[in-house]
Amino acid sequence: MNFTSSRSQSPVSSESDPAVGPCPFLIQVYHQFHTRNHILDVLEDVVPSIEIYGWINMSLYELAVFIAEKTLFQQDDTKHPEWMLQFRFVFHDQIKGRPSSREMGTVCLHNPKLFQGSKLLKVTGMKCGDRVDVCIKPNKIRLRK
Amino acid sequence: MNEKEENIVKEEHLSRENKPDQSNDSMDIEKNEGSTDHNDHLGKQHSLEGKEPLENKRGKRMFGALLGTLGKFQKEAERENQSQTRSRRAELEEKVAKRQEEEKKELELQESREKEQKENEMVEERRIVMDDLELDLKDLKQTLKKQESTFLKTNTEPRLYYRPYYLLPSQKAYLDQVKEEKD
Repeated sequence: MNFTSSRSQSPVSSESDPAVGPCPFLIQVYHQFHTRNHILDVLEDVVPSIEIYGWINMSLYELAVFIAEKTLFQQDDTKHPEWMLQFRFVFHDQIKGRPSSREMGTVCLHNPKLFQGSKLLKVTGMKCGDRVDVCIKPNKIRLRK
Repeated sequence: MNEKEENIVKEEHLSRENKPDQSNDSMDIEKNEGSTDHNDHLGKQHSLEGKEPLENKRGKRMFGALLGTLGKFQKEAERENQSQTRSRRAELEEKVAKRQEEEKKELELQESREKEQKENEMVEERRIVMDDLELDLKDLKQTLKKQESTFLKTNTEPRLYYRPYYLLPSQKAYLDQVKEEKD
């Protein structure tokens, strides 16, 4: 089992330079419907995953949109906005010396302001190289009165 | 003489009047003991009753029959009244049932209309939200493309983005070329 230590690969200068903006990095996303993957399955890359380019100051809703484009919108049955995505990132905790995970938040595709849709990735504590595990559940739209 | 004769007659008369009492007493004793005069008197009554009870009975029978017929008519009248009330009740119940059915149908119609309206609203809402989602996706892809023009990519798969602090002239030229192509 190879555990890569989480280390930022984005250049420091790009963050300070506003003209350049944040450097996009590759996020490996493991998704499952109605349930979550096991931590070890995620770290050992047993379950299938998708690759998404994201950046450190993107919101969870934007990440959810990218994930939905590659998973949910590929089929007509699932091509609708009534979905809820629960995020957590999986990493190898060097202090504890074992695999660990941390909750990032929940997002509804039909309402970006609901739950933690506007939460930024850098606030969640996620770093370059951490793997994201997503639980996709159906969530009906509530009509505004 | 005449007065004497009259007195004698009177005495005789008186004595005759007294005698029968005496004789009656003796006779009464006999009578009391075994006399059948009271029986004769009862027998007379029996003979009278024999005639009367039959008439009484007939009268009573006729009276009873009369009462019976009256009662029959009364019962029939009651039955008719009851059947009338029953029919009225049945009519009322039919009316009430009809009204309830109509109200139920109206309610069902209203509910189906509301449901249809809600479904249409939901479909419209879903369409609007899906359009917004697609617009967001488009915007995100554009920002990603912009970032691709400012960062360099590795040749190996999966491709990683990077940007050195100091760009080489060739790298700068490459980035400018990519920018121009996208513009």
